[in-house]
Amino acid sequence: MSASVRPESEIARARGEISFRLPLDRRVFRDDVGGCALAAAGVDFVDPMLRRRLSPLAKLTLSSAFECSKGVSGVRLVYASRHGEIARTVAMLEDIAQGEAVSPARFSLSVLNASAGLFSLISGNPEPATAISAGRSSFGYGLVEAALRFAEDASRPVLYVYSDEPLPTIYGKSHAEEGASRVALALLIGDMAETALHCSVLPTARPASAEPQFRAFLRCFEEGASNWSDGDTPWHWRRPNSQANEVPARPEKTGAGKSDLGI
Amino acid sequence: METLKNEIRKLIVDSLALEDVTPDDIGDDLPLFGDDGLGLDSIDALELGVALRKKYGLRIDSNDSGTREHFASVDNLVKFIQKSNG
Repeated sequence: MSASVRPESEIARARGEISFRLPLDRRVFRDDVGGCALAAAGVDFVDPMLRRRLSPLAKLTLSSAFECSKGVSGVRLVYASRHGEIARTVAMLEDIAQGEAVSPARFSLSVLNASAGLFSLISGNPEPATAISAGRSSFGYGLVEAALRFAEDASRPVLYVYSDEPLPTIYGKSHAEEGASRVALALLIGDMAETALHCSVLPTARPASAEPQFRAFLRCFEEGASNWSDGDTPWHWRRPNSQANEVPARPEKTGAGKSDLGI
Repeated sequence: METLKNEIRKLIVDSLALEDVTPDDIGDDLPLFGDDGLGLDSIDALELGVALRKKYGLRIDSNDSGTREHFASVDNLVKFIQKSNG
């Protein structure tokens, strides 16, 4: 790791454990129970000719990503999703099964990183964008990737966005670990942070959790600390300062509002 | 002729999921592609090709130099369909 990396953003790996400090400037969470969050999620800033092609998942993802990075230019993006645009993939497979032609418009935005690409296009932001999928632990490993990006260059914020939606019904009864609604969670990792989490991936196996991983992460804000396991690798999040429940808005870049909650 | 024109206008709006555009907004000679007209792009061309094939059984050869001309406007599409099915 280069000498320019700030000590608090270093990612330590010892005894098979990965641990890192995660400074958070902003947090936006949208839970689309009954389609309410999607209806409220504004994507009016997207050109209508592009907007018509956005899936419900992409709309929720983009509205969260843009709200979380509002006024901050040049963010590097890390996007994570377990299934991504699987609804489109399934629709295409159904067309093929019925001997129909595949819709080119549907195909063009069916890949996992569709939303990451759209974010770059719409914002005109040429910074790198990474897309991660890692099974049940997609949220957690996406967060590790985002923290690594920030450790690489802590002078500019990293936007981390996770989103997923329930699997199409053809996959059968949904599992609790999948979550019951379409969700998007955006985090702005930056050096203006007034809140920081301590994140660890532990080496000792623990029984699997029933809830989706991002829900366990969000519980950390309410409860001060939370755990989650995929049945093998346990994850732990801890908030050193559990006084404030909400992440404060990113302060103006004057330096006056800056505080450092070192661990 | 008018019926076919209206069908095609509706097909364009529906198959391309156009927002804020109604079939009546698409004039007979309005350029469908490019910034000076409706503003459709290459993915729309493919999507429209799929829709036309499905509805009218058209055979569209993407290597045919005439394809660009056939897709230029509603008028041209009508001529193309009539010629192909005639």
